Amino acid sequence: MSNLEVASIGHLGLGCATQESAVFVDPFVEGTSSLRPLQLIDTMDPVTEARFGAVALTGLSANLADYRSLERLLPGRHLLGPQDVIKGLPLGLRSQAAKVTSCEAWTPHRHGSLRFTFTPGAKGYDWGVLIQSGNQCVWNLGNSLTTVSICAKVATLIEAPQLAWIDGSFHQNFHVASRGPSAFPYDRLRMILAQAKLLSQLGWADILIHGGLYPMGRASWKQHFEWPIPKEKLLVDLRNHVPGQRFLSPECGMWTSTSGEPASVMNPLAIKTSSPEVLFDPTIGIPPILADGTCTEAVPETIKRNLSGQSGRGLGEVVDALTRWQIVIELREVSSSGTRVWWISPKDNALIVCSEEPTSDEQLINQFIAAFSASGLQRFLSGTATAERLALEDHLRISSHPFSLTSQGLQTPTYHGALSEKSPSADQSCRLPAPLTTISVLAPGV
Amino acid sequence: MSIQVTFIGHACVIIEISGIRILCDPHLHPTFSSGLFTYFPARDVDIAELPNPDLIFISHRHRDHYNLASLALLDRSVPVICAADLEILYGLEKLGFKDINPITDWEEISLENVTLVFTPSLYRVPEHGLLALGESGAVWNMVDTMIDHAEAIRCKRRIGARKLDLLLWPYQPLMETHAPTNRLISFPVNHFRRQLEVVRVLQPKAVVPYSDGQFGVGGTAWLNHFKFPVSSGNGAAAARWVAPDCEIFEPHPGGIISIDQGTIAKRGSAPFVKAIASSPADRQFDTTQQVPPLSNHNLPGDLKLTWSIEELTQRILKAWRKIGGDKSLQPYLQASARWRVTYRILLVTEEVNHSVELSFQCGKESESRAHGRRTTEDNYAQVRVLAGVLQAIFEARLHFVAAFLSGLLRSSEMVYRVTKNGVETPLILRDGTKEEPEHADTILCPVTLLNHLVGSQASIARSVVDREIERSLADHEQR
Repeated sequence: MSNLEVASIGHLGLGCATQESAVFVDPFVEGTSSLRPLQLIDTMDPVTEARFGAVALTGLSANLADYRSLERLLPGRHLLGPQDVIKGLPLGLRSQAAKVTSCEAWTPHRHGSLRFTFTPGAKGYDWGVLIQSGNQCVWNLGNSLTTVSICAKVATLIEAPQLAWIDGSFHQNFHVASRGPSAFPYDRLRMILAQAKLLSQLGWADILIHGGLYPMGRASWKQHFEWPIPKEKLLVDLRNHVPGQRFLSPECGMWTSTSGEPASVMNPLAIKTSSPEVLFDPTIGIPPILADGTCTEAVPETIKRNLSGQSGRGLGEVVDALTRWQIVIELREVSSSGTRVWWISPKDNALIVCSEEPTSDEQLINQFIAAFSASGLQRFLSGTATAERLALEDHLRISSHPFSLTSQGLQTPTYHGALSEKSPSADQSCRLPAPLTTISVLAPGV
Repeated sequence: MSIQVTFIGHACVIIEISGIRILCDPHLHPTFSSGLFTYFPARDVDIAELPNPDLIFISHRHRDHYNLASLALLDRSVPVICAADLEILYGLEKLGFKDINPITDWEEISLENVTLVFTPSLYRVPEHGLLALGESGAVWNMVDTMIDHAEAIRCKRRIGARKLDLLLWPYQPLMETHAPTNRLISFPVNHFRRQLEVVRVLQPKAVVPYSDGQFGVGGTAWLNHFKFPVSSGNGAAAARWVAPDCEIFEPHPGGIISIDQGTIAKRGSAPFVKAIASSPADRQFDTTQQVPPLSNHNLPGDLKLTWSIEELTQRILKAWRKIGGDKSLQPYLQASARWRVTYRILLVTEEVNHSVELSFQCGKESESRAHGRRTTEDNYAQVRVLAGVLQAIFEARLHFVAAFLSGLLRSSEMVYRVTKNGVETPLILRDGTKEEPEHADTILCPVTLLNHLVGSQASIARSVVDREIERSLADHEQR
């Protein structure tokens, strides 16, 4: 059995290889018009590229499942991922793979000499992947938040913990312009440090830090909000927090053995650094949402059609939450010729769309503002772009600061679902789907 | 004898109780603070028809309450009751008011058949509410004060067995400083809960949610979207939730509410206040809106830079040397040295930005240097300001607080260290409440530091008042 080697291929993407088999994990190798990894693979020699026979995906978010990269890499390759990830991938994309393996949590699957086990995260929708070859292992945590019990279960699958990759990026991009200006993300830093400490305590020999995207195009102003500290400072912080632990941040494209040493089974992958080296500076300001596209009269009808196509728990949960929190969605369609507003409110266990703002005498009404560019709203309602993608590209901003008055007094919500920052164990009595989860019910059902 | 409360706009009200007419926080012009702010709903006050007050009450120094241009229109022989704040006292003296009475927390003044009780506030600036107790009823004008449960109980006890008839309730947890200082914007639940607690404890017969009428105009209007997190409808709904029997009144400009033998009702409108139709659309709390970059565009013309950047830099460095010797600031500056904080003042001009970096090391200021890449050791606290605005503040043409509250100062900070225990951060002193803790590891936020830098020129605060008075009197004469 040959050595297992691994290389960062940009952002949270990895290349994993043995002499016999090679697999891309969460590849982000194209650099879309709206997002680019700090470093990305520029060229791969055809022989090296041909050795990669599979693509493994740990998530559906735009920074893990980059559609342009998948369009390039899926044809003719084996696609592996957790069931919900595979199911959530557009059919047109999924069908390009030569073979699709939809994996259960904790159940190993093979691709050649490589064994894959998808490991669930604490948030319930987040995943990591454990990659093994013989007695060697690499655990890529992806976007997942791990816990002692998850680590303990991973420990039962391996002989000895070797190499773990954690996400060292700050994900500011998701939040800027929906929460207003941006404070230094101490909570995110704490989360990175906590993950590292946990892995260290459980004996992982080398902890590798990767991750880093920056917005381009219309959202390029977010670059000033994206990188609060340089990677070197993060490494210093990690070493201060867990003295004695080896933390590495290998250059993109350079192969590393599971003992953290440089390796050479595969050729180095040519990379280019695309970082614009923009200083973190939230005092610079936030531009208005860019008005493009034209407003259409079809919005209410399209939303009604999309809602009627929704099934299952998701819609019911959102309607219930909007009712409980007395939330009215103010849907804005911003075009160069003006802004059109629609109001969506819960009524009789359904959502209704109207062109007049609902009023209520001395009743609490919490406003949930979803401001789309007109072109973004069309993409969203037709299902060609997710709310998350549009938020990243600055075609969507959300403002929602609800409160409720109950027998327990004044309360504010604990968000759950995509891009919430709280674990699901947080205060159950105040749960509210995260804003992007809420707005997503208006898109066509999967 | 009935009680009558007349709303002039924002927090300016006239309370007539037991034959005594009290003009509170007089604001009689359409705009204030160099034209950076106006009122919604808009109104026009016919000053010639304004009834003469028997007493003037000034709750605190913020310019939406302490307006020298309005005070300049009033009879100087009228007694003034005000917060014990040197800036207010200086201005009143300078204007020629003869009977000035600074007050303390819970101080009481009895006048014929009415007792005035000056309630406290948790804010750091000297500030009071006014509880007026007369034979015909009790009115509490809280102005902008924030009090805790214990003080609400004390107020209830002071009112006695009867119910509070009318509460003028500052329901908004104002958030205008969050966006410019890049603090996380989430619903200020603790603040609003505290304001609701006052209503719950007092169970007044009627509530007027008010003191939410000041708005930025022109180049500062963007901040209106980040200021008021509670809609007026939700404010009323919340008050009704905690005090189901209370009646809610809206404070329309010129509107009069009377309390007559326990009956509270709207009673026509004051002839000297004319409401002007204006759109409320831009007050909606909405974090999807832009935070425009600092620019002279849409700002009053006298905020342009006429000094050289070098001159402005020298003023900053001179002030920095001065505050280095200020004993009261030593603990904060020493803490900033321990936390390796570099204060960066980023001066914005039309052409290029210039950075002045200051760090405290045994009382020495560092040299001004370029805006460069940070090292792994640095912590920083940055304030971005238009160079012309800072010059206007130094020259006492613009009040520092007015500049801050209109979003003309932008700041952010990254101050932490990582140890085995995790991420440690110092306390950061902002213009908050008295109850916020301070300890040896408290540093100044960059805006507070800048305030000390401009304030360290001892004459500045007085000069600002002098300028405002000068301008007010000139305007008055012109009219």
